[in-house]
Amino acid sequence: MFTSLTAAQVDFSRMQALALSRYGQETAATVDRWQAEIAAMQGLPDAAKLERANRFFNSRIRWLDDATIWQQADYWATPLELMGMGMGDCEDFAIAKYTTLLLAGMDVAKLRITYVRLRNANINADGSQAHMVLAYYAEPRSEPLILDNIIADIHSASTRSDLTPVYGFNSQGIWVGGARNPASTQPEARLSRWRDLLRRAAEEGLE
Amino acid sequence: MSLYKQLWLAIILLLALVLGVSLLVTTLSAKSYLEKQLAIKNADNATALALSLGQQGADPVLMELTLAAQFDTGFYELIELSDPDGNTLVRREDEISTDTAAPGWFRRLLPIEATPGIAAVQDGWQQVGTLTLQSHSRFAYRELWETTLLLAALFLLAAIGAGVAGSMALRRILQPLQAVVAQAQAIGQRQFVTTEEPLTREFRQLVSAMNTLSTRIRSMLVQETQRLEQWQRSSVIDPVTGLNDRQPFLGHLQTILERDDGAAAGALCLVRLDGLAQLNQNYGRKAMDSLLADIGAALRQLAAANAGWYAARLNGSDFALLAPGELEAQESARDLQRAMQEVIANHALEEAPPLPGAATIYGVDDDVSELLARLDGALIAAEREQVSSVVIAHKGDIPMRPMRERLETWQTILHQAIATRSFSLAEFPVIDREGRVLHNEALARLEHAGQTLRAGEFLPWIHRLQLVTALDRSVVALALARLDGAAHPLAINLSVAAVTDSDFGNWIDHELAAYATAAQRLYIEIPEAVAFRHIDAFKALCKRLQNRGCRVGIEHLGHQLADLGALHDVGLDYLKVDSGFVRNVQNNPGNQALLRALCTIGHTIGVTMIAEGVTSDAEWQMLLTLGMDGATGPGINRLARRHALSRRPADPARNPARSAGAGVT
Repeated sequence: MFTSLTAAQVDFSRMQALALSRYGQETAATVDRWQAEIAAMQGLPDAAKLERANRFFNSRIRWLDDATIWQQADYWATPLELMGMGMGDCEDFAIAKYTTLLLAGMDVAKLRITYVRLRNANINADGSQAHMVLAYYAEPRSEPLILDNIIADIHSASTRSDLTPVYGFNSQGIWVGGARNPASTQPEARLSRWRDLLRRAAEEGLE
Repeated sequence: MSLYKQLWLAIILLLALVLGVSLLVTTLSAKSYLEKQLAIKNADNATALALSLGQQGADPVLMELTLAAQFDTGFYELIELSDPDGNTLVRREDEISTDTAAPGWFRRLLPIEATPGIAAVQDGWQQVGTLTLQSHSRFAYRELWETTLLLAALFLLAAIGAGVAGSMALRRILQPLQAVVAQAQAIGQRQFVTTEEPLTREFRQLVSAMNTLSTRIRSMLVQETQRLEQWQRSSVIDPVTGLNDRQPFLGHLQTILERDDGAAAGALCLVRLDGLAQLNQNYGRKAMDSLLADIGAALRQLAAANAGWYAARLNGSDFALLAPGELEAQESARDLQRAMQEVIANHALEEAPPLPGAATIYGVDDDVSELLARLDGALIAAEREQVSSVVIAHKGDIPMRPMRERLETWQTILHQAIATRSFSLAEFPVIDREGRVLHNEALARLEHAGQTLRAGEFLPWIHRLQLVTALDRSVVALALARLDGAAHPLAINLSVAAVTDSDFGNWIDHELAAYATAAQRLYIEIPEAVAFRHIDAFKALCKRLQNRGCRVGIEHLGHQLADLGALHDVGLDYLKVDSGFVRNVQNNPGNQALLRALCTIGHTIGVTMIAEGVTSDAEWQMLLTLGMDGATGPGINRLARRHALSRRPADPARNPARSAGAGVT
């Protein structure tokens, strides 16, 4: 079992059953629609895929911070948890979109989940907040497109002057390090939020 | 391979296996731990480095310098930065630094393969490249090697400790086994010993079984021999006094005269309870029978107190005492008289009857009827005096020289003989059922003044002068010397002193150790009277002799059969039955039954039964049918000579039914 999410696969029937038992009929229906969405995205150009994935989550999921949803300072939710709760934090959006795009056949090398600093006077006093978005690089050296949950539409990085990138990663290396190894069998898996996420996702049928 | 060694090997193998596997597991787990730590460190450092590169604005020179500085700490095997297209921008690889405490074979055997750390370097939204970082494994190797060495040392120590403890435990556990084996060996050598049961269950069962066997054999031996003795007594014992009566006494005297040892000379005394018929009338038969019974008890006690003495009631009023080896007839007669007087005094007769006595010294050339005639004459002379006197009868009516004078003469002769070693051995064959020689019995001879003196002639004097130990030593030395190259084993007779004198025990032990090969073929026999009188000393001597490979037998057996049971744990090789039971056995149904029973008992405990003093072929043929395993005596000497002359192999057809008889020495 490889939970690398580099070439994602999903066991929809398992996820369906879990959605039904954990969250109820409504979430099961959401998962159904998600499955249909992913199926529809296959073969579309990258731009269309980005658009649909972005819209799927931004339109359904309400933003709330982790402390409210999970009673934890920082909690990375799996796509199923996100759909189940119907609400999520910034990284939950980024991860769910990242996963959806991979399932839709997107090349993992083009995606980076990126830590950014968000400057927004509306949020708090100094107008600055830690945030996470999904960046899409059409070419390695090109300027990325940003999939965000605060600004629902996709914009190029240069137009998002409110964002300052700090660090980006995907499941190809980084941090995730030995993502080639089954995350769930390694004791240090819990050390990293990413690994923890991968493990939980795998349990929910997402590999 | 002994059980001890096998268990030892098993312990060592088990320890090696357990400790080896545990060393392997520990080492592998340490390796895996180190690999994980290295992988985490790789990922950690790569991420941190990528972050810091991105924040420097991804200036190529700065990036190269930063990476070089990081690399030069020496903790990295490889730091590589490649651009988004996969081209190498910066590469630092440590190729020389393989020196580590761990030897090459160890690194090849347990390679440490940590996942490299990979991180993306970004300048703003711009991708700069991928950073790959691999920490140096030599520190991990050193750690692993040292840990393994330490563990190996610890395990070795533990193995040695466990080995020492195990060997001690093993010795403790197996300790009873040696006792068990010793008992089994003792039983194999006809020593039916019982031992304490050990705590270990298996050993306990084994010892218990052997103890049961030993106990059964012992009780069989005790019961059978007691029954035999009772039966034997009832046929030859005077019912009133419990003393032997005339017939067995004469038979015994005859065999004593034929003996070729210290018993062949000694005192023979006769004391008469005068006027017994008159006393019967005066005091009544019942009172007199009680008196006679007491006299019988006193005489039996007197005889029992001196090895080889023999008391008998010859007829109504005549009591006889045979004291082999005693050279002062007067003394022995007085002993007999005194014992009777004490009994009579206790019975408070109005007038004590006189106890006239007669005594004589018998020797090798005497015969029974001449001796009795001589004594009768002296007794009549004593009776005439009407008091309790003792008249000494001299052979051929020639008074002997005074005792002191004779003692001095013999002292000179014997001391000289010991000094000049003029003793020699005469050998007489003991043959088995097929006529083959079992062993030769060696009897002492003394060369004196051109004559060869027989044991019966000088042995009483040797006893008297307390030189018997010197003779015993000479006999042992002669026998050991002669056994070197002898065709048959040699049996020698030892005296009572040999049994009781612990110095002699030490001496013979030393001597037998010096002649270890000869000792295997030396048979040592002790008279029944001596063995049973000093049973503990006899057993101790037997143990020493048997430890040196000697075989031990009892001679002149048959007079104290009830005591035979006490010898169940001695491991005797043979029993020589006294010639008294052998003489004319073909005409004596009583002795036939006795010998048959004795042979059966002997064979049950695995002892060879030998008849002494066989004089005729008729006796030997009867003894064969009774189950006797061997024989010696004048008749046998003739047979053996014929056998030796004809030199033909034994003909088993002669006694086909008996040839599978008891074990032969």
